[in-house]
Amino acid sequence: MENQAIDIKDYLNIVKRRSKYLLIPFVVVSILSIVLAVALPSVYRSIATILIEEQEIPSDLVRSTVTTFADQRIQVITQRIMTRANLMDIIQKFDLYPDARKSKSEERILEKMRKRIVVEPISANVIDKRSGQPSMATIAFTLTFDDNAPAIAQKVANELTSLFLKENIKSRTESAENATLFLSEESRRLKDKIEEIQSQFATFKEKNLNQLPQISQLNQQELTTLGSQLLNLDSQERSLHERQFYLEGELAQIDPHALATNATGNRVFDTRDRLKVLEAEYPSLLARYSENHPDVIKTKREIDSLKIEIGGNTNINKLNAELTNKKAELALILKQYSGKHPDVLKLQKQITTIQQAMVTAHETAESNTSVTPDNPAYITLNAQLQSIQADMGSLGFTRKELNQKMENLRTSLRQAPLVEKEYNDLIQELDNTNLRYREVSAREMEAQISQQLEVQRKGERFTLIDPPQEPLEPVSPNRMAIIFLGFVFAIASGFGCVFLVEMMGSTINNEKTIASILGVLPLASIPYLESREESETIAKRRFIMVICTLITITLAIIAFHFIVMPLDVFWFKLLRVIGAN
Amino acid sequence: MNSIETIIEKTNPLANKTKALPEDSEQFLYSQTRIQASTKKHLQENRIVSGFKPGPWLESYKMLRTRCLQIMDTNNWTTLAITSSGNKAGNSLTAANLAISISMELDRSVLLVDANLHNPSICKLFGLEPEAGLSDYLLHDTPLKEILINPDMDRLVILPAGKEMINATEMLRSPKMIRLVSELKNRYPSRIVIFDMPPLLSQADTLGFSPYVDCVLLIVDEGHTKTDELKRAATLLKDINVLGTVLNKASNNKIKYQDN
Repeated sequence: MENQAIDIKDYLNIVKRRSKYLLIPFVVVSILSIVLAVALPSVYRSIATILIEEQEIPSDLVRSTVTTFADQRIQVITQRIMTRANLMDIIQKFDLYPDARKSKSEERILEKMRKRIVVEPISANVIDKRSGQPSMATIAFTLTFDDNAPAIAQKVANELTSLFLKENIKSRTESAENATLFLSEESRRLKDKIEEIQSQFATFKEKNLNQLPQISQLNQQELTTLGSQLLNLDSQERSLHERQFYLEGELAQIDPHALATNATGNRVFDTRDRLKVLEAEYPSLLARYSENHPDVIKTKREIDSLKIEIGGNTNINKLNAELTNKKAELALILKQYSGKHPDVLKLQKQITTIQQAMVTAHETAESNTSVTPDNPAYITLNAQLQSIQADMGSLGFTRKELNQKMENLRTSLRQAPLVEKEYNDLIQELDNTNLRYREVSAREMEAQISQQLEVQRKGERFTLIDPPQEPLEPVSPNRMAIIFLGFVFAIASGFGCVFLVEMMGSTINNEKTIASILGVLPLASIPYLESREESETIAKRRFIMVICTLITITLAIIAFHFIVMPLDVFWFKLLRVIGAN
Repeated sequence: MNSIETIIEKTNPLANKTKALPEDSEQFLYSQTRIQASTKKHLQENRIVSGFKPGPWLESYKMLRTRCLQIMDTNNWTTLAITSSGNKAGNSLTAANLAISISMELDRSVLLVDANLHNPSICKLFGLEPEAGLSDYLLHDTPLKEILINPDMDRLVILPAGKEMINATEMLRSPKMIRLVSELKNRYPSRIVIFDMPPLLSQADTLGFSPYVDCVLLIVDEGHTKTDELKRAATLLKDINVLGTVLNKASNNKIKYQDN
């Protein structure tokens, strides 16, 4: 009673009871799998093996500008090859998938084709020369193409391989070319920049010639020299002044007019002396003669003419004093009134008049003093004095110039630090650019060599070591595996169905179930007694079943023959499948 | 089911075999009881054990009989109701066969009452043509001696169901019925009274009538009785003496048809 565990017999009972649910899925699934295994089209695979060869010239000597990993490059090239245009070309060229092309979209066909192209890298364990670490390196790769027809598989694989090789060369050369092009462009740009900086530098130098750092010391020295010159000039001027004072003193003591003697040996007086003499003589003459005496008249006339001759200057002096007064007055008035005040106008008019008068007076004075000194000593001294005055004038001029120069130098010196900064910046920039230019030039040279490496195919190369062959045997489908798996699946589905039915219809099927529910085994178990009718019915049903099965199988075979494939073909294929494996 | 055949068999005098044992204590009963017998072929077709030679079919019922009698004797039970959880579980057949196999015991006599007033079938199994039945007794007070039938088997008397009744549930619980049960139970101490009842879950009859019998035997139909049906039946019967269950139509020792 306690033995309620389900044992193998119960399972067998279940299976026996549900044999229908076991058999039908089993038969259906296994027939399907057989049909599938036979009817699936064969797929042939053509394989090309391409070796990745390292560059011939050691990379220590010539470094390639193509530095990506082989793996990566293979991927890139694969993507490039699998473009729509490329694949469509191949499809057109070899007339691939003629049926599919009629009914399916281009995308679907391309997708199908892409799935059938497989690029697989072959890796090897290598030890990195530089790091000494073991790593995986791609040494070769295979390019495979699957198709239902072996010849087409081979042709397309061939085409793809050549495309691959071409694309590799193209991409490598292009990449090397691009590197070279870029570097030469860069070097040209740097050269231009250097020129530009140089011209800028020249302009700068020209503009700041005196403030340049190299000049500033020179400027300082010059400033010192000029300073000493200025001192020297001062001493010269002082001595000239002294001499001038001396000469002026001397000159003041000497009569400009020489003590000329007439034919009688008497000393000829100058105008002033004559006037003094005549003025002294005039009263005595008056005393002696009447006013109308010819001597008196003659003397008087002489005095007058002399007075006019000498006294012209006093007139000018007088006018001068008056002008000064008037000007002071004007200044005073202008503080009180505007320029349009009548008093101001009056004063201005007066000043103008006085000035005019002075001009005329001067003219007359000059004409009056046109008497040139004739005393040789006086003339010599005067000439000396005048030369000193000229010297002093020239000294003043020189001093002015010196001062100007020194001022300029000082300004230059003051500006020098600013200029120096800019100057240094320019120099720095020029240096940097030059350095970069040299670097880029060197690289450009290298890139050119590398480009040659690629052009001459001495770089890393893809070598076709195993060209695609026409496959003799299909790679897939593995028909035996499909049949085997089909059978496994058929059995599984059969038992699955039985399990499901058993789970759903939980009827009582043996004493153990009753015992498990009620805890007590049934008192007895009455066997099923088959009646005659039942027996007959079962026999009849069995007969009908057999007939039906036969008819169904026949119909299925006929349908298969006409719909899927002719039976003889199927038979031979089946034989081949069994024989092949 | 085979009514024409039964009628033919019945009318055939050769088919009637009277084998009343005069020394039996219940002999008087048969003197009051009509004897009807059926052909062996009919019995066989209806799977009644008496139609078969000794063999596995009979043995299985003998086994059931022995187990049942053991338990009933121990508890001093004499009335037994046979029911099942669902329809067509083989209640009537089990009742009939159990009754026959009990009657084979020399010291026992059996009264088989067809209490399935909805779908009486005992008589059909035995190929009997009752004139009146339990329903007539309950409704019209027809005397029992006119109703009881002996199917030409020793120590076995059948109380047919009679006509179908609409208010069978109520009638089964009526005082008259209860009186009848106690009378049948108490009149002969060595008699076993077997009631063939309708299914427990589809009709209320059995549940309502069950307090008046000593014990209930539950028939489980292999491959048809659901587990939860059995659970429900067990719940319903938890306050009633359940003699046990019988696994009917067990397929693991199926008896093939053979001509004999």
